[in-house]
Amino acid sequence: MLIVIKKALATLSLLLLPLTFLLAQNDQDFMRSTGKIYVVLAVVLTIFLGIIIYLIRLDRKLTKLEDQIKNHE
Amino acid sequence: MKNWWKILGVLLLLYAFVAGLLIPLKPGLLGVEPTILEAGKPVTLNVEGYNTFLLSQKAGLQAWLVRKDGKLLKPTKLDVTSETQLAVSFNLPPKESAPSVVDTLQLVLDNPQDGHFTRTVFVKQGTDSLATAATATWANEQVQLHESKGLAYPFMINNYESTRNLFYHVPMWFAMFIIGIAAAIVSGIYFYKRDSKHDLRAEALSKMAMTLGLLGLVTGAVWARHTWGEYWSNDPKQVYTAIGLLIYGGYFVLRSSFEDPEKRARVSAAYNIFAISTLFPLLYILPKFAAESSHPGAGSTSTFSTVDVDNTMRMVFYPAILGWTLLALWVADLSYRTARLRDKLLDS
Repeated sequence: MLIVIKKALATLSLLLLPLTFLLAQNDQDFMRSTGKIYVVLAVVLTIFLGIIIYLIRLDRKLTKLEDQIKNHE
Repeated sequence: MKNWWKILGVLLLLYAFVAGLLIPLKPGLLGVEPTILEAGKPVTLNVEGYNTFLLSQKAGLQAWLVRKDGKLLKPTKLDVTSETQLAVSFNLPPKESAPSVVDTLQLVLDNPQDGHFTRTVFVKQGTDSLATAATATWANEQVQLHESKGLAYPFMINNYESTRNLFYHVPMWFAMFIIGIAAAIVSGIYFYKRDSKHDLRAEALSKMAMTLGLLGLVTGAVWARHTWGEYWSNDPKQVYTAIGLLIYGGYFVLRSSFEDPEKRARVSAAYNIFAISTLFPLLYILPKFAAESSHPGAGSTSTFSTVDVDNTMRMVFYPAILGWTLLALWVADLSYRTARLRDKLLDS
């Protein structure tokens, strides 16, 4: 359950972040805003990859535990 | 290797983030001012574009006022001040319709790079018409309109850049449905096999479906705040979704009310199947019957697919659905394996 809550919070902040950036800028400045979208993308990808790395580590821990139990039986 | 689908999910989501955020919007018009004009007078319209190349394309830029019967009025002056701003002047002829009637005209702008845009302006009876000799007349002329080139998402008024949310908010709901149906199927398998591991998997999938549903509701509210004006506008789909999620949440309340694991599994499996079958009519079918809704695909609002004529959005949308579903399945799988380990450790 804790995993799910953490994931939910992380995903939520991930999803809200690019939205807040888009709202902060004005519709007028497209030329300048193109540069800033890369910042948004970089932030989003960092958070996303952070979550994925967490999931991979969790996955490996569980596999290790499962193998331990299987070997003991 | 057996984890290929997890990697695929991550790759698809990376694609959805990169393509979803970097592909630009098609050129469009942010605004035209003024929109209410007086007949028989000269007028200068200030036009503001978005992602337009008005200055670079000045040579090929054309503008007209077009009447309902197709006749056009050519401008007297076309002044381009920047890539996104111009001022176009017309000498409006006197109205041919009754004084109380307000005519609608289309302001049409076109250049070879950006394609063409249209904006509606209204013409009311002028207070004192200038009898200028320079008054233009409506002409019958054929014009060449261009289409914008390049990979770009549709420019939608009011949505603007938030159109990109189509790749994040909507696919989460699709993922929720897929996971919820999977949970119901596994619940059905539990009835047949009576193995507690199916009950644990159904619970894990249901938890994921609930999480996705809550995330979808919150992200939808954030999107709504900046397009519909408020986080919660009692939009039919919003309300039905909240009801549906409350019903789905009952599954977890029900589970916690049982001590005996077998009874818990049996009763909650039945409830799970019921809960997911209420979600489909609530979220998908009932909103279509609503008289008024701001949600695309409900009430009188058309879906994004009607503007996505060249399928640029679909190209990112469908992979995003698969990506979110696979990621959600991964998390549900981890949740299941944890519960199973806990179960095994308690038994031993």
